[in-house]
Amino acid sequence: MKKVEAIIKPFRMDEVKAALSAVAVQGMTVTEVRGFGRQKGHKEVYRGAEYVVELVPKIKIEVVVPDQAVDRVVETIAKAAKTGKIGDGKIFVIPVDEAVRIRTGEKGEGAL
Amino acid sequence: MISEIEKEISRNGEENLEDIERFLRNGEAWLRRGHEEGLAGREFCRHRASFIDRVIQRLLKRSLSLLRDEKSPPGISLLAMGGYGREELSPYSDVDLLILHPPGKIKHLENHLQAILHPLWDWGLTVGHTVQTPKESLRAAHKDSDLFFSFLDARWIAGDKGTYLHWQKEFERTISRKETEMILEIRKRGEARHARLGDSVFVLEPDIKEGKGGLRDYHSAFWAARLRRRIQTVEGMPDSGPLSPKEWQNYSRALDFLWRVRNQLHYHYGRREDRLSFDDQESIASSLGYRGENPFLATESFLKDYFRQTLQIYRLSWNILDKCLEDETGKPKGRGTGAPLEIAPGFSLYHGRLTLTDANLFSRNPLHLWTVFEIIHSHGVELDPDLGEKISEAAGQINDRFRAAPESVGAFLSFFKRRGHLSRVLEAMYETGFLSRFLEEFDRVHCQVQYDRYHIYPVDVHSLYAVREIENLEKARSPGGSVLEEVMGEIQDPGLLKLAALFHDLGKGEGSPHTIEGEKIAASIGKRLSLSPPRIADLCFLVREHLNFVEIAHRRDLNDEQLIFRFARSMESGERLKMLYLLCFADLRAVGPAAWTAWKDALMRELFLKTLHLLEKGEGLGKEIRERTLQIQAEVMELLRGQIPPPRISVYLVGIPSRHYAVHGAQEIGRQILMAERLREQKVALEGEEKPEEGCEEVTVVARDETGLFSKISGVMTANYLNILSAEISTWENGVAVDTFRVQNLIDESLFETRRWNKVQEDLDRVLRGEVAVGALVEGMATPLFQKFSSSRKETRVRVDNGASDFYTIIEIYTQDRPGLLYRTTQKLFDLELSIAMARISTKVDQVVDVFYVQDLSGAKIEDEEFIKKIKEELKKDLEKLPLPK
Repeated sequence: MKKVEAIIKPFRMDEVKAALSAVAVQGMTVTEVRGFGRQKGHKEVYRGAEYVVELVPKIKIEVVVPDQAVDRVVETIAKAAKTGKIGDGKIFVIPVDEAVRIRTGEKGEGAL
Repeated sequence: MISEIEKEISRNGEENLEDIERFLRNGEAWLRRGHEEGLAGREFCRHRASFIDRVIQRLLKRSLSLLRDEKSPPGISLLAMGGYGREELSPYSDVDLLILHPPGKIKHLENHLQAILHPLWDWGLTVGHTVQTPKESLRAAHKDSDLFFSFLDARWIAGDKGTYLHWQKEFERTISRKETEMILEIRKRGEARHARLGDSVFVLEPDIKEGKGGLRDYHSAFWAARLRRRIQTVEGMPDSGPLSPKEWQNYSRALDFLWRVRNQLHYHYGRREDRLSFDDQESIASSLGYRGENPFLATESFLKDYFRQTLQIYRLSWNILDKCLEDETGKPKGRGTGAPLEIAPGFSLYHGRLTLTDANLFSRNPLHLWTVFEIIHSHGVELDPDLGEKISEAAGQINDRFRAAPESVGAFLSFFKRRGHLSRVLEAMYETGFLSRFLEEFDRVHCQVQYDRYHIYPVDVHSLYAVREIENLEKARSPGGSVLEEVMGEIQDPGLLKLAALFHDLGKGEGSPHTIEGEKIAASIGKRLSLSPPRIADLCFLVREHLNFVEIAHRRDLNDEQLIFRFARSMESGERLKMLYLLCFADLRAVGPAAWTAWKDALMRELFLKTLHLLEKGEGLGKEIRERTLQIQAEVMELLRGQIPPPRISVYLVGIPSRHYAVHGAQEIGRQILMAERLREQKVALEGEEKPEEGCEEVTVVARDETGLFSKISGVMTANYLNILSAEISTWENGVAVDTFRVQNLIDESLFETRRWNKVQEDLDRVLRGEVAVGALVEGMATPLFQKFSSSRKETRVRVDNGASDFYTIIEIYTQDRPGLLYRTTQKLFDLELSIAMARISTKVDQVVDVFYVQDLSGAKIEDEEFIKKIKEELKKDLEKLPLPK
């Protein structure tokens, strides 16, 4: 099993969610996050006063999938999240040792 | 009921366990059936207590007969405590027993206890018990307040009544020594309990027992009345005075409701559970018979009832508590001292609370109600509970005449206009029921909730909180504060903003989106309050758009200039935008503690600032420009009728940037659209005309936008001996680039000679098809003619401005005019991987000012200082290399 973690632009959220549902991803965790990468923060000016926005708002999507689904999921997210502009985000793939469905105690891929 | 069930079971007066168990089981089955058929909450609880009473009585009887003690009773007395004592047993409530026995060794005490308790445990009841002598128990209660309070509920159920009476007499004596102390303790505990559970009636997952407005509030009130007024049971409440008969009626109705919900909750879980968890609210509502078009609506109306009733219980319980505290000395406890202060005729301020000194004031003239709110607005004082009741009564008499009276309208609006304690005023209006009488629109949304995890507070409470947020912002204003605070300080009509905050959600529960209905409601209230038409329009605008702002901020690409442009245009003015921004902030903050996050803050501020910058620059956004745009669009539709299907024309017209409408007329735009249509068959469309009075030619080029397009076109112009004097380039939303050039012909042959014109067209076509490189064309041209240019050398300057636009980096180039200049410049920008969205090229005599709006290839502004430096240097170097006329 792998966890696919994607940091994307907030306004691509609906597309990514729909695309993932279309490739039968059952569930996901979505978090509003802030951070910076190559798209550094920016300055906002109001009435002469500068407000530095160091952390840019992003959406983090996490899904845990069986190994054989990883490529498809990564590709799906990358395609749906892409605008071609800076700040489109990143996708990380992380190994997952175990999964447990709390209600039933099921383990492994059956718990996904 | 009990006797009927019992008759079936009992056999010849002898008690045996099977019979008693069967009696209990039948009783439980009867209760369950009763509950499913709608048995009232209170009745259920009382029946269940009676069943348990009877079971315990029979167990005791059996035990006595088993041990042959009947002739010399052991003096044991069985008392029901806590909820069982008050006869309020839900299906899985604990059964708490106090077993009293006389001092000294009691024969068979252990055996009796076992004979009574073991079967109860075996049958699955949760029985708590304490075995003590009266003296021991009273000593324990002296030390342990929980025990003390549960003793207040004590009720004799079986065994030796004498022991009980003795105990009771002693306990009553303890009560008189500790009453004030214990009432204060009840209060303190209540406050701590509420604080622990969110300090609001309106929480996502209410605790039906411990939460604010839950049953514990009622217990507290009962205990206080029990201590102070010496009532023995709840039934004594109406006669003991803290509640009026009407209030008592409401109170018992609310309690009845709560018990019924609790019974359902216990059955739902099959155990004691007092928390109305979010996931179960839907099925609880449905089991309680709530129906709606869909389960959500049913749940919403269940929660609405739930909150109405708990609010009732909270208010009335705390009124009872307060009154019981006041009793002793006639003075409220725990507040300042001092003499009453007359603050207005008929009103005095006493211990920080507003009281009424003229009991008939409101009945003589209900308009005096406004005086109460005026005092609260100016001084922020609290209402005395008695005055609150008087207002509630008087509010019942409010009619249309009262609502329409100029005094009413004037007073109400003044609270919004003047700075003061507006939220306090609204809270007092809300709590006394005045608000929903004066503005009946609030009646419909009273306790109206939205069944989701996000919206915690019902609509009416949420609206009040939203006003409070605006007020807080207004008060918090400090130099160097947040953008929100700055903006608040600039608002010209804060009163209107506060009205909008109060009315923004009144359309809820009337279908989706609620802003449509909400706008109508706001308009009708606005008219009733005699607001001026422009203020009504602003109010409607704010109500209508408040969802839109948040939606765009969170779900749309804020780097899309056209999007921001259209949004800015829909705002019409900076003032409206500012109010909308603040309203949306207040709205989110008032949803619940979790709704306003730094994440949302950042996106909403970005949308606000970008839109405001556009509005303040006013480019293409002014009213005249908007009207001009509409006018041009209508004319173009007319011009192209019959040539292109109208829906296609519309697609074009919508996609044309406002800036374009500002500089081109209907004729030109119509022609450009026809040219764009030709792109279906050809790569580029070219048209030109002579402008003799200006001594130049105008050339329009329409092509699909691509990177480097501008440099390719200007290269072709140069190669064809055309000097570009000025250019307007714009990109339409459907990807069509429309570039208009004023050119100066550098050779004698007219540009519009067929041969020459065709050559220009052909060159453009070949370059855009990639058949020939534009550089090769420029290099291949015969020696340029320089004689028309001045030879005086002027310095080339390059400026890069990132402050003027939120979307583009602006590059300004000041240099001396010479052939190929524009081609060279745009080629350099292309090499630097900059894409040009707009350009203004202008030439005055021989001095050129070229302004380019650029982004990097990812569509972002150029923020990197190193890169900006590189752009400046390379442009300057490159242009200085370009030969000047000799």
